[in-house]
Amino acid sequence: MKESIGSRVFDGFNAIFLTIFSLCTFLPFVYVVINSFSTSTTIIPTSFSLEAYEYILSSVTFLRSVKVSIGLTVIGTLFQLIMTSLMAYSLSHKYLPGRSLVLLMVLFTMLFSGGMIPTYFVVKDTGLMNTFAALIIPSAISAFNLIILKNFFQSIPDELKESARIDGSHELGLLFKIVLPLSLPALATFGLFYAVGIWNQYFNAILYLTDTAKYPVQVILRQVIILTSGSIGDTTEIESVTYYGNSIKMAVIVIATVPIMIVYPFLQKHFAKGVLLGSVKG
Amino acid sequence: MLTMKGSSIKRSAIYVTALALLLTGCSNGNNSTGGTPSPTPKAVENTTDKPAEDVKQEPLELSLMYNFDGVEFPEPDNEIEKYIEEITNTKLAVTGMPGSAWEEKLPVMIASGDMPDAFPIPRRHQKLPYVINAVQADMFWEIGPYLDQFPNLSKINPVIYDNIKYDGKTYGLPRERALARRAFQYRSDWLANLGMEEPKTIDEFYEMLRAFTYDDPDGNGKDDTYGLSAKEVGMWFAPYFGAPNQWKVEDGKFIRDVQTEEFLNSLKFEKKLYDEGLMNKDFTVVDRAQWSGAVETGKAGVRIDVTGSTGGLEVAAQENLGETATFSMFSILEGEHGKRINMEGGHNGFFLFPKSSIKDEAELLRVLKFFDDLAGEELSNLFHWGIEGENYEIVDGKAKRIDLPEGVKQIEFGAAYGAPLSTLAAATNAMPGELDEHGQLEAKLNTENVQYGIADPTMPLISETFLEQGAQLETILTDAHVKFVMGQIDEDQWKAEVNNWYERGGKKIIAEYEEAYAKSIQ
Amino acid sequence: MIEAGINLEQATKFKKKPLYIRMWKERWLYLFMLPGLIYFIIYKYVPMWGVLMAFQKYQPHLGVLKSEWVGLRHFERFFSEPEFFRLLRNTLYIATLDTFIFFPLTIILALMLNELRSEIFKRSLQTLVYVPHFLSWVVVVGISYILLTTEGGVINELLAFLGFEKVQFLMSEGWFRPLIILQMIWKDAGWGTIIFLAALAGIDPSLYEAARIDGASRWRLLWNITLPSIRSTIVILLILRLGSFIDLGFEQIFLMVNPLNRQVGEVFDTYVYYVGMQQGQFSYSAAVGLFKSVVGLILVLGSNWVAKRMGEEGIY
Repeated sequence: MKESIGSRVFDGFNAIFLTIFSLCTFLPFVYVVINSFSTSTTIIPTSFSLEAYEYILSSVTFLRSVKVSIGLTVIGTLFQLIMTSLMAYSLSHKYLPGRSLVLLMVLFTMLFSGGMIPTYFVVKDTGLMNTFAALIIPSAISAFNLIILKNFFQSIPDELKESARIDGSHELGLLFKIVLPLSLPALATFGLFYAVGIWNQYFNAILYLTDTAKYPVQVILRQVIILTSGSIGDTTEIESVTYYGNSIKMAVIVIATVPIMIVYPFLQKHFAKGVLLGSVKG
Repeated sequence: MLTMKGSSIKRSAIYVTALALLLTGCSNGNNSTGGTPSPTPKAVENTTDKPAEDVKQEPLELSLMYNFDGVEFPEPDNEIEKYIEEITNTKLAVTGMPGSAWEEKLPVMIASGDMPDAFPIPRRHQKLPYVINAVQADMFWEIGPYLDQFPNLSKINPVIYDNIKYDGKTYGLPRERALARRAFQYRSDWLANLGMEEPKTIDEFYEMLRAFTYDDPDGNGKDDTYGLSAKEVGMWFAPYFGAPNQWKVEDGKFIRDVQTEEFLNSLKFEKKLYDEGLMNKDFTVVDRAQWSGAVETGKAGVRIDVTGSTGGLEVAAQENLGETATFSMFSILEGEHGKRINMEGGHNGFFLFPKSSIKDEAELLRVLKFFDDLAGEELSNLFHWGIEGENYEIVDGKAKRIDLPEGVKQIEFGAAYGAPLSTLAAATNAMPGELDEHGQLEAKLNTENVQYGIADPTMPLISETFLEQGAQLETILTDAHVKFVMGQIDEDQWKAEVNNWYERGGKKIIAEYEEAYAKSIQ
Repeated sequence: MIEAGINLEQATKFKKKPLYIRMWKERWLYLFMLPGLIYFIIYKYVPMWGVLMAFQKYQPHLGVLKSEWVGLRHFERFFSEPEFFRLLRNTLYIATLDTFIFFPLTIILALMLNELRSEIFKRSLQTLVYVPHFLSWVVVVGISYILLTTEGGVINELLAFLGFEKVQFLMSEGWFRPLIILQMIWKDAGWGTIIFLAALAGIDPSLYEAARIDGASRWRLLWNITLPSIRSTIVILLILRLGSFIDLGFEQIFLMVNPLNRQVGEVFDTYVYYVGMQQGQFSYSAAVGLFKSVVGLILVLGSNWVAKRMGEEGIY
């Protein structure tokens, strides 16, 4: 079947438009990266220097916080994905008694919240103070992710589930053999959301950790920005710090975001393509 | 994954859960340096029968939490901390965090009762309800009566103590800062190029700005410079025109600066600068980086900031422009009303001492002694100069800074411990030393300015309405200020806005301050 | 994702059995749900007492048991604010722009990305397009400043060069709302496509095959296959969005508001900042927050009901 002219024209325009749009979104970040390699404060950087990165990367506390953050993100994402998937799977069964009630309950938590202070008390009372778990468990399931994942699960054709059941498969097997593999794009998506959430954690770390050795990377980086911005009144008599201009701020942005930004392309490689291929037939 | 058996999945699930629990357990076990208020152990412990005089007290275990303004959180037990512990006979458990996070964590800390032995209240929070109420609920020790036992703590300017009193009582131990440290930082090389002198009066200042804008001060033949790089609005010129420092008291009556003719005059001056192009027209939206950047890249010639930041400004400018870019600064412009400058609180926060963490008077005295020691000679030297031999050397009885060799990183003693923990300014008891040009100017101005300082009389007073609506009402005034300078409203409309502020809540605030004032002078 | 038919007969038979038998039959599902339920109860429901702060004069050191009760006073204060209607208007305006412009745009963007022929091209653009999500609003507003200021901003310099008058983008009332939406789109549209792209990835390619063989045009494919397949995702996301309809997020607007555009810029969230955060009035901000939550709840329940009436799968 021949490709119509209109279709090809559309392809052309589509590609051009999307390229322009993605350049618009990407170029400012490139600007940030370029600026992180320069110590001048002009809009167009005039010098090249690795000073900002040297400054940050030579810090023991920084390197340790990176390790902390990576560990937290990997374990935390896995944990949160498992918790969410299990519950979402249950809730995807339309005729499960009590389902509506639970969903309503979950929905409610999306809209109403007790706030920082009461949550603090709960975290404290469940023994999580000053632990890494405090950065993972209190955000174990995002109601938003749960509801949408449930939806994704629901749209897997029942015939597949039925045939597996007839084959004598246990619920757990069903989950792992049929539902999850077919939901890889969704899992990749929510895995990304959770990973970003954990990686970006800042205030929770401040709130629950008293051991500065446990601080994740965002806290350390925020610290650098405050110092090198020299806000009036709160910082005084800072001696022995060479002035780095904007480059430190830029370097911080780069270091804080690049690791997590490249997670999705990796996930995409493995999870992107439509997995329903051929499964409905026969 | 598609062929994994159900049982092995179960196993992994159990694994992960166990791991999570393990993390919890492990971390709880490692809770050694946490600053949480486990009952602070009694400091004095005699395990042998030594005669009283020979007893060396056990080190005081002290937990501290504060805003930390350096890059690296110091490792526990680093050499600086050990040095401090040795001199003060303490065992420290320190938790630092970025300033903004600190401010948000405080209310939670107070709500939960998880407080360390001492922690600072940020300047901005001094009058917030949650602090005031906590103080009034007797959660903190009143340290006023004990201060005369401590020589260094007593050296702090009493004005500062007064500024932070609650109900006339002293609960807070302030972190002393210069009382009046606002300065105009300007390109001294430009001034020299133009053959002008440092301005002493408002008119001379105007002349300088005009010349910076129109007389090609950098001599490059291009019309690419202007005078003042401004950011938002502040009371830049109000004091020089005779306006009060926010408020003034006359016969027990409180008057707000915006209500005065003098303030309007300073507004008109600002407007003049704006109209004639002597300052940037986007001052109300410009962000920090660009505001400073304008001066650092040689577009603007003047910046208003604190005395301590001129040195850094010069370094930054020279990065971009070379060694010819030099800066100097001044604080006061003389007007019809003589030399005046606004005084700030004189502190960057102050320490409070929770009764839940410090059990009795004896312990309180030891904690206060810790702070007194920090302000003593040895530690002042540490905070101000650093480590002898590494950061400074003694030349002719005076300290002289040593430039660190390239690539040597060192714990920033100033930022890690000095700035957050010093109460009395470290420079007071530290040995005299050679300061660079800007350091000297800074010290000179800071001292000089105090004699011309005007105080804000509402500092120790509390107004309920101001607490509830103050920030909101301020926006009425700031907005009017900006619009007037930009020519969007005229004088009559300005006065109408001031009246608006007055009717919407200013009236009540005034009444409340007057009442509080009357009570305080009884 | 195409909804498959349910075997009606089996379902009705199932429903007729007594409750406890049904629950026992699905015991595994309950087991799966258990950890999640426990989580929600402990970490979401137990702290709910914080909502009571809205009816008190909450003092942190007294806690909720001992703080004074003031009933609806905070709400009265809020609704009788002279600014209230202005805040409401501004908030609604931006919220509407958000839901009716931003949200559809992310869908369209996802569809466009999906139509790209080359897989590699598609994946690379996908990644580029969500990069701004990771920049903080401070950075975004900073970039806006560099582009739009009248003092040497890129766009204004260009305008001047071309002989036009400079525009006070950042300081004019008229530009405020468009700028806010443009910034939102730039920052988060790409990120918003991720969920839709995941949904699109789940469409059975054989459906397209069959339709193409029948001679369907591209447009037909989009209209008859693609859109219906992601319809339920769109509906769910829309309902969930409505739950935070007037929750505009404080940072972006706060950074963009200045004395000159305050009339159109001040929204509930920034107002609460001045009153609640700056002045530490927990109760008042809790009250305003509660108000927002209630509005969100009404919108969610309402739209869920509408969706179900239209035959869609709701949230519950």
